[in-house]
Amino acid sequence: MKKFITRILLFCLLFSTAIILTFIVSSKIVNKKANFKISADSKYLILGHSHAECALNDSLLTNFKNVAASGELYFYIYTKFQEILIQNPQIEVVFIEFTNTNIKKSKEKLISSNNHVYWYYPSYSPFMNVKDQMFLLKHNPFGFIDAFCIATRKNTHRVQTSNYDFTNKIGGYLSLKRNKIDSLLAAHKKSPVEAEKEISDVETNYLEKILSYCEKHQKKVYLIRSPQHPSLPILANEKIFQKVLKKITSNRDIQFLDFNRFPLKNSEYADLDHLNYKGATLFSKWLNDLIFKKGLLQSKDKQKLIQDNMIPHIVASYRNSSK
Amino acid sequence: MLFNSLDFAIFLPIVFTLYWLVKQLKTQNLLLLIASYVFYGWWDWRFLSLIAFSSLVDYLVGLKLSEATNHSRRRLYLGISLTVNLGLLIFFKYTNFFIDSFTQAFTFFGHPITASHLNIILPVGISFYTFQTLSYSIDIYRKKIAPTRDLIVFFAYVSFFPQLVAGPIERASSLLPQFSKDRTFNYELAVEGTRQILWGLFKKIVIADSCATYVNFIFDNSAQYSGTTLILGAFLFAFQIYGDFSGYSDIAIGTAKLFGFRLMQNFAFPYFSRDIAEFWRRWHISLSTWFRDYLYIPLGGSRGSNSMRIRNVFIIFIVSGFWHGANWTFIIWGVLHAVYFLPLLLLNKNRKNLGNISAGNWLPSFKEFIQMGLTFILTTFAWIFFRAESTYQALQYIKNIFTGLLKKSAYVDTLNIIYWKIGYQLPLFFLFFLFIEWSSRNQQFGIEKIALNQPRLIRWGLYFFIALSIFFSQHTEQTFIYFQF
Repeated sequence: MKKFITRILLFCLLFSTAIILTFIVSSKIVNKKANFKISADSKYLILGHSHAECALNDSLLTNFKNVAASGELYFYIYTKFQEILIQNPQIEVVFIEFTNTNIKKSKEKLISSNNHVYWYYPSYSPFMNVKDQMFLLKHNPFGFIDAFCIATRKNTHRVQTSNYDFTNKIGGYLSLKRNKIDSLLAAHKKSPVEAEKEISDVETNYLEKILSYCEKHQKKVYLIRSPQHPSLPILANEKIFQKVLKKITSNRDIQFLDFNRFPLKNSEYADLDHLNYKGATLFSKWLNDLIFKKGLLQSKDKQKLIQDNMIPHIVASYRNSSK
Repeated sequence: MLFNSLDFAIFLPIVFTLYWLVKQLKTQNLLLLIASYVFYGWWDWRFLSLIAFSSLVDYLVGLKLSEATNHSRRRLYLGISLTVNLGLLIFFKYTNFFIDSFTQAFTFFGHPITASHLNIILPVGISFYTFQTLSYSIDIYRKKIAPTRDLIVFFAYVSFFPQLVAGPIERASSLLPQFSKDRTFNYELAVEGTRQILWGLFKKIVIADSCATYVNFIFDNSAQYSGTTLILGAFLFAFQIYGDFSGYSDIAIGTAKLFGFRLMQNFAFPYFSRDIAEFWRRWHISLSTWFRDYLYIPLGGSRGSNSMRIRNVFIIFIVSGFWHGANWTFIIWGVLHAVYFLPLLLLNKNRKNLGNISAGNWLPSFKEFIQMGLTFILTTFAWIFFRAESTYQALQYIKNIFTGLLKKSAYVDTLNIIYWKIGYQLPLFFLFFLFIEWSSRNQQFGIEKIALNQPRLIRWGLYFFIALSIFFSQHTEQTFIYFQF
């Protein structure tokens, strides 16, 4: 039996070594040749999760590139963002989505959940630092091993097929057609959902890392909160949200642009969190004018300018022009 | 727990080490029982009660059958076993099928009725373990075996994890005594088991799972494809189902060998058969022999008048089809095989090809090659019904095969799919797979004897090649659930 176990272990050891070497070599090659180049005239970059992904139609925003992606967490955004910034020196301003959802403690568990690890790790592994990889291994060893195997296969396949293009993997505007507001409001009325009160330290820590990286590369940063339906349960954590926001922005030259109360009709939401294509079109056109015609980014009191322009009749004029 | 999962890769070495550390037979059996229940409960622990209940009924029935001398009492005890096991199987597997069929029948005859589906989850492996427990009770009733009084042994026999969810369906006369015999670690057997697991994983992951990607693609969009592409889809499915099922069986048999058990061969290279009768002697052997011994022979088998023989053949093939799934497609699959088989039976040619193909020669003769090809085409045609979601889909698929088959563009489309979608890797693996299987057609499994007497470097080189192929062929990429928000 000893002989059998020794030989099996030896085989497993040799096999694992071969796989780890394949992973390292393929990751290095992918890292070196990866293409994250976006359009040369994209000076404004949008990062974030599904809120920004569905709210900001970058085809209606001059020189903008939206790379927000569904469910993407600051932990993963940090890796992706560094690569985008390195390969796109034309980027001048970075808008980072920061909403009440981002600070939820449950987001922390999502980082290493199978769902996220399987999806993001294979794509971002060639660019991820060892510390971040260890974080995933520590919090979900089985999921990480599975994702490591997927990553090895994926990287090898990229090398084999000389496909180093990541531009279609970095996110982008998502047009939603649906409108579930009425049914959701009825459901919430029946069984109200309580907002989480605990904060995710890991996520806020990675947001700060992104901010520091921007500072280091002298990029102007704005935290933005895109429109959310007033009945969204998580808005109940507003006090904590403001506290965290204050902590993050203190000692930094960062401003928060709040579009939370943007006056939209129920038919312009996909659900309580997200805008549908009607809402996104309206909001993006309005924002484009606010930035380029009304000089939002040059204004001294940006939030006042936003509030002054968020009045229903101004917004309604954009709604009418859309028709 | 799936054999090709990380969970099993961790579970197996732990159970293996503990098992050989404990050494005492009783403790080994208890450990196997616990491991088997963990293995099964990993999927859904609630169904453990079902397997425990089925085991307990047959354990008690077995004891009562051996004590009873009165014939009617013995029949009663057997009836209890049949009712409980078949009752469970019918309830969990066939209830919704019967509801649908009755509703459709009433609607067809102009009396539309509505009946709602029951929300029933099909317990994994129920078709396998109920047949295993049934054979135990029937064999005791027939006085072929004596019942076991050891509860742990019997429960471990029913739930033995290597073959619990997908067979082979072992007979009590073969497997049960192995639980009662002292087992010591056998290096050669363990190595053979490991090789068989490796080959099983190759068939499952490299061949079956790779084929599945293209099969799903072609079957799901069959209306868009030319006849030649649909033929390609059907051929790929023939290899998918073979690789999947025989691969799983190889892993099961190999795993059992690691624990000192020998299970029956379940697939004996069926695609190298020269006629349908030979195919059925080589395909899912444990099920075919089960039906032969417990259904076909009691019905009269191939004795009696021609009408009796025809009836028996149809019964056994229809029941076999129905065993595979609760859908008319499986029944039609069974009927087709009965139709293929009947001429051989009626002309007394069903036992013509008992030996291995081209025995003593490396290549088959031209005649053998043609016979093998025809048998493969017939089985592949029947597989279309097995794979289709409904009889309508299967008929449409077959109809589309013959539409535009003579057009040049159809062949160009298929070549494009092979070149652009399938690529060169899968065809190369196919060649390797067919070469190994053909070379080993006289053995129990693909790499049983391949490179066994070669220097270690060559042997390990082969293992490395297979293991790397498995690793790089896995299709584990998931769709991202969050997209459904």
